[in-house]
Amino acid sequence: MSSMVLELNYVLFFIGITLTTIGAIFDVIASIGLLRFPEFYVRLHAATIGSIGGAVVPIIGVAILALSCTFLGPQRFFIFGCSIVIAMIIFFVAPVGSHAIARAAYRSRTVVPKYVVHDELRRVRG
Amino acid sequence: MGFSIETFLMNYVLYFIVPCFLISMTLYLIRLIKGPTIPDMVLATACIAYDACFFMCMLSIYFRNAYLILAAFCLALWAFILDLYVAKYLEARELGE
Amino acid sequence: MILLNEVLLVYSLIVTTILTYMVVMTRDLVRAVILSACQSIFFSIALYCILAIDIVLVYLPVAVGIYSVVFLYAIRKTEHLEKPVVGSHKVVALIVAVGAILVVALIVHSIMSGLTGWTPSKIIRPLARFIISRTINYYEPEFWTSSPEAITATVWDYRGLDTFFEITVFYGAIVGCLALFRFIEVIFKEKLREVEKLPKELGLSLITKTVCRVVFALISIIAINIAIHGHLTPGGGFQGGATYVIGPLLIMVALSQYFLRRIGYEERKLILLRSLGLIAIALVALIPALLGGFVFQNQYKPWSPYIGYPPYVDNVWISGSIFLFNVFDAIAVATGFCLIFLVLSIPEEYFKKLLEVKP
Repeated sequence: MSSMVLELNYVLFFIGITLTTIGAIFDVIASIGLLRFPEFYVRLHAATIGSIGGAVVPIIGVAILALSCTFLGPQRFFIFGCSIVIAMIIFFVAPVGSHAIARAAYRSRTVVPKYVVHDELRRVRG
Repeated sequence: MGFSIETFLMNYVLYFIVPCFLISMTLYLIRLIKGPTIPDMVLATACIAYDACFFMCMLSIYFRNAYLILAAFCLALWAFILDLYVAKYLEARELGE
Repeated sequence: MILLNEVLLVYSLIVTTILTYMVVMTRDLVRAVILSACQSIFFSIALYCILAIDIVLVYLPVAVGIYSVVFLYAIRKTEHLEKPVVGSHKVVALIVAVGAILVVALIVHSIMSGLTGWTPSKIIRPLARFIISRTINYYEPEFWTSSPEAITATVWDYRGLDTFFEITVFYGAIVGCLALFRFIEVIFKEKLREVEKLPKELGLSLITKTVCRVVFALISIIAINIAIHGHLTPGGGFQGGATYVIGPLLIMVALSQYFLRRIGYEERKLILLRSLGLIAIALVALIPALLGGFVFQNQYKPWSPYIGYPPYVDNVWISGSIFLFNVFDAIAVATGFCLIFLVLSIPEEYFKKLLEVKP
């Protein structure tokens, strides 16, 4: 490693690897949280980390990583663009999914919130 | 130049990143099978789907082929659709209303 | 030496087996639907690891998008709990499942290691070598299809008649479905005229509605891309059509079906488009026969007088009839699926009104 020249490829490679590693660690933490939290509404917080920190961030890391892989040839720009778009799609779409299921679970009383201090929505809606 | 991006990437990916994601996928699966209520299972399925998207992106670099990433595109666009279907079912409404 | 794709393949296949067993044995049907959607995701990872992207592009929309909604709709109309299984039956089922897997594994191992007298050959078969070396080959233009995508070339040129039969089966299914719902328009039209303004209570919440409109546009663009590029990238007609239909399905679930009908998805228009697509496929297949060649002919062959479809038009690579087949098949499949969901979403009370016997 001492003979490594400061090229743009190496900088991009290490940024990509860092983001992907951060994403992997976040994903493991989120899955442990999803197992250990006591209730559905508390598990939503863990699922947020799993879907955004555990999927959007590593895909952006893969995109920057792909820019530095010169062994792929001109294909690496295609992988870069597609990965950024996929990350943005997941970024917009994942919160909508959890919002829909949480709203339906609350309104249909499938899951009654137990670990709650003050439920303003129930006071308003009755 | 003693440092090659290609070999370091293949080794590092194989021995560190993929086992991390496989561990978290297994833990999501345990929550899916164990989940006492239906919304728990739906949440676990969504997290598994987003992890699968990451796998597809990583594997397209590993196989050195750019066309493989279209499958990840497709999965990302409707990974949330099961949440909407189950939400509609739980609120006890007709499919089209 | 560990290969990454083999590790992922083994992992996803094991998980698929376990999840399939749970889908069959679980008592609550909604759980079975969710487990089945998850099993489809793992199976698509397994298919991805053996580089079968065309199948993944069909499997994902159909198994995750279309199966789930059809089963949830059917469960909504009936009960969602099955009869409880006796404890001893569960044990017997587990033993049978594990025993079946062990027997199959034993058979495969004994064949591959040569205990029976025959081992499968490890060299590429002559037919596969023929197809792969000749799909695009400037030096031997007697057999080429001018399409670098071997799977699309096989589907539409080398074995076009099989695809023709698949299209016929799909056509028969949609004809049957429409025949079941044939008198419904008379009663349903009044309700459609009543729903003038879209009330805010229909559909899901405002956040969901906003994002679904954006995602609908994205899905349409990706579907058209997959269908038109079928001869160059993985994809094709059926993949594009199946991908497209998730868009209107999303609009139907998030905003209501009345909105979908208002923006132009009506049964008559869709039936017209579908018929035009199928007629176009038939014409593209029959025109070579009328002009002297044989049915489903793509390029020029020395033994038939038809000059063939052009491989490129103005420097845009079209691969002859394969591009036309992909576009028309995508239109036919997308409108066919949309028809089914439009007709399935009519509420149940109109059928009860239709079926009541007048004294």
